[in-house]
Amino acid sequence: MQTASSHRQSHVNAPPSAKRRAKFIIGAGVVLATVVGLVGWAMSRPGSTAFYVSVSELQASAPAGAEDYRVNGVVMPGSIERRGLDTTFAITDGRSDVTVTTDQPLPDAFKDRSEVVATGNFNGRTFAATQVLAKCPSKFKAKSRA
Amino acid sequence: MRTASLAALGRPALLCALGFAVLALILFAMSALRRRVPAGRAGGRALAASAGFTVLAAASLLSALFAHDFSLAYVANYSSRSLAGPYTVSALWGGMEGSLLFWTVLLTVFATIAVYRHPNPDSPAVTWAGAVLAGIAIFFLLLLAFPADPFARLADVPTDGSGLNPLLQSPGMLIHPPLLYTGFVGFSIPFAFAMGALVSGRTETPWFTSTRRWTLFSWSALSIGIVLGGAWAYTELGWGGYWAWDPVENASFMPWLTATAYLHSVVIQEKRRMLRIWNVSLILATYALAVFGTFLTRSGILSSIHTFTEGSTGVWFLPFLAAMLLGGLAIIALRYDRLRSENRLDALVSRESAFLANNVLFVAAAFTVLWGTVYPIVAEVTTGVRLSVGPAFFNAVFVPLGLAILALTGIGPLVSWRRMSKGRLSRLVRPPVVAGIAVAAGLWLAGMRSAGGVIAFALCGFVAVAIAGEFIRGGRVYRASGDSWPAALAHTLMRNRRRYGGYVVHLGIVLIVIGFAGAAGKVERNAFLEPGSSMKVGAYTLTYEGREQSSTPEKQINDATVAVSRGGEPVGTLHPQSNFHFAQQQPQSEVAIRTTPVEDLYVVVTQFDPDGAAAIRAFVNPLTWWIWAGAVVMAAGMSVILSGGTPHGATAGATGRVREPVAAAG
Repeated sequence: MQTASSHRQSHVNAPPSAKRRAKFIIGAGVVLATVVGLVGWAMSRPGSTAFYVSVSELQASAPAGAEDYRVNGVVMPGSIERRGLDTTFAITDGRSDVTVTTDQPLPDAFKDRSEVVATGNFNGRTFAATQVLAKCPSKFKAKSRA
Repeated sequence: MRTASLAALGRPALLCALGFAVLALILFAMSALRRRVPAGRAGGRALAASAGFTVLAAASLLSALFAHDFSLAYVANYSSRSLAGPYTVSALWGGMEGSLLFWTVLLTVFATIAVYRHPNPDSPAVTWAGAVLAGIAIFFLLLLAFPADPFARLADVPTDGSGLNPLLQSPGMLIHPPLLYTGFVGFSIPFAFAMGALVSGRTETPWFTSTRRWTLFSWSALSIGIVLGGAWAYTELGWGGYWAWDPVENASFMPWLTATAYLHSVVIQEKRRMLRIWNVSLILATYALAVFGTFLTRSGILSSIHTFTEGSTGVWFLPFLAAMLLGGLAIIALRYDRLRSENRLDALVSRESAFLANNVLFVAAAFTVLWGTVYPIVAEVTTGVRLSVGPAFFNAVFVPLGLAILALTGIGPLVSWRRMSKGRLSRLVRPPVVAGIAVAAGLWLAGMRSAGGVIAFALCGFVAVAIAGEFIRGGRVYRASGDSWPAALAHTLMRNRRRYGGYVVHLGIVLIVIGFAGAAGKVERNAFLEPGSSMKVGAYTLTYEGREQSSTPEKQINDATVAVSRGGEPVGTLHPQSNFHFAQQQPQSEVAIRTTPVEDLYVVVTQFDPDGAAAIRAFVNPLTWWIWAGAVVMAAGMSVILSGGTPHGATAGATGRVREPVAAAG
């Protein structure tokens, strides 16, 4: 958006433009390939991505010994049992349920009927969670919808 | 209504604001198309009226919150009689409707100020920018008038509200959301003026110089807002960290990355009249990402701890976002010829190249975050498989990208514009390189074996010494005229505030990276302790001495006494709490942190047994203090930059003859 008056730039010392352009295109290509490679490598590392499933999907399709799963469900009332740091509870999606065990601290919003996302491994019977997040619908909405 | 409040004014005020915004759009468009100056001025007044009515609507919601007018659904949902005064203010943006109203207040007020304070308010570029801003305002006012009405009434008026989420009752939450919104909304101004300049085809007022303060101001607000969000997460959420690559965190980080790229590349446009298309695209991307972030938090499309409740508001954003992106791209394509560079890169080793590399990395970083954030949606749509992308992915990408950007922070300022001799470069680079190697060697000898950690700290040393070198070289000029060193350095900083203020910001980044690198040495321990028993974490021994209970109208307080010793020496007592909030029927942990520049001891009670035993989670977080210190340094640097006027460098660059160090800004 400049006027022609600013065309006072001299290019006297510039190397041939085609060669210079080639240099920059190669440079840009290398950077792009590096970034794409970096993203691809990071995506393929264990723990980077996890299958995100409902309880029914977990029961129906997850192979025994499935690792890196995230399962989403509602805590079944009365199912929470704590012993020291270990907690066992059941989550359901209304059709199936699964028992979750964890030795990790649980979030404040974790209670009967709260919606949780458990990350961990499934051995075919119980889900061993390395992390439990309460997907609290009342985070901003103070009135509980659960 | 049992208590007097201005609530009744709210909805009429919003409708008036909407009416005036539509009027402003019509007047601005008429003025721009028909070249009628009076219509443009009337458009400005209509915009101001729209801002006034939006402010009135917000004031009326605020007064309803303070008056506990629970006939309003919003007031009943997000406040209560027992809510402490200042947090009643944060209830204004604690819920979706209120936060959108707050957004709109900032938008209309900023737009009015930007149009009125423009040095050439009658130019078609400004008139078009006003039209764009009025269009954006119309969108948000429509949201407020229909799907997200903050003044919706309840049929059954409750006697008390549900209260604000206790997590949001924190000083950080009084400042963090307004700063983020200020950052997001502030980018509307450079966006609108860029579009206005393109549509009008006017070249006499470069949009990037007239909106520079807005850009810097918005970027500063967004930066500080993001750090405060991290600080809030760290002190409130109790998981020992400050950043989880949550979609909503990412949503604030993406525009920050593109805006940071823009702040740097716009300097090239000033100095060398290059990268115009790139800069317009960056500002479009920044604003689109800011709106995308606002959309993400309101759509429920991604699961995040930050999301507002799912509702119909989200779908409104998609056509808006699409119109903005397509419109923006179409305008850029239309004006492609006028945007072409007047100059070319002269040499690979030049300030331009360094800035360009910086830009490529920042944009790559932004797209990586975007990829990781939307990948779950893409995967579900294309393959039907639902996936989630975790912090492991982002950390793996960001460590190398971040370190490369950090290295450029040190190299960039050392290379001159256009080209430089190898001899001069190697002379300038030597001290920082020596410093970096010394740091690496020292850490290696001290027993540090993590390659990432050694590289990170070495680069911090490299950049810090490079910045120091810049100040010393700048200061020598004043030193030669008889100043003492402190005075010479102060002169250097204040005479070219953008350049040296920028270096201060870089120094803040270095300190922040020190803090990030320290996180690699994090230690976490969990224990279930009976009163009187102990646990170890790092070099500390924590003894749980017991629980004390008390009550307030809001909550039952359960306060744990944890005695801390280090190497057998008692160093203090911490009081983490797990309090039961009556309104939410939910416990809420209060973290106890013993912070030093070396490391933080971070203690949380995650659970009290009825008999008084406690589940305690403890972390040792090395060097976290440096993140907050770095943020303070960054804020100081930003203040220096913002306190400066428009630098003359903007015009000096037209000739392409820029010499170090007087006119160059970094």
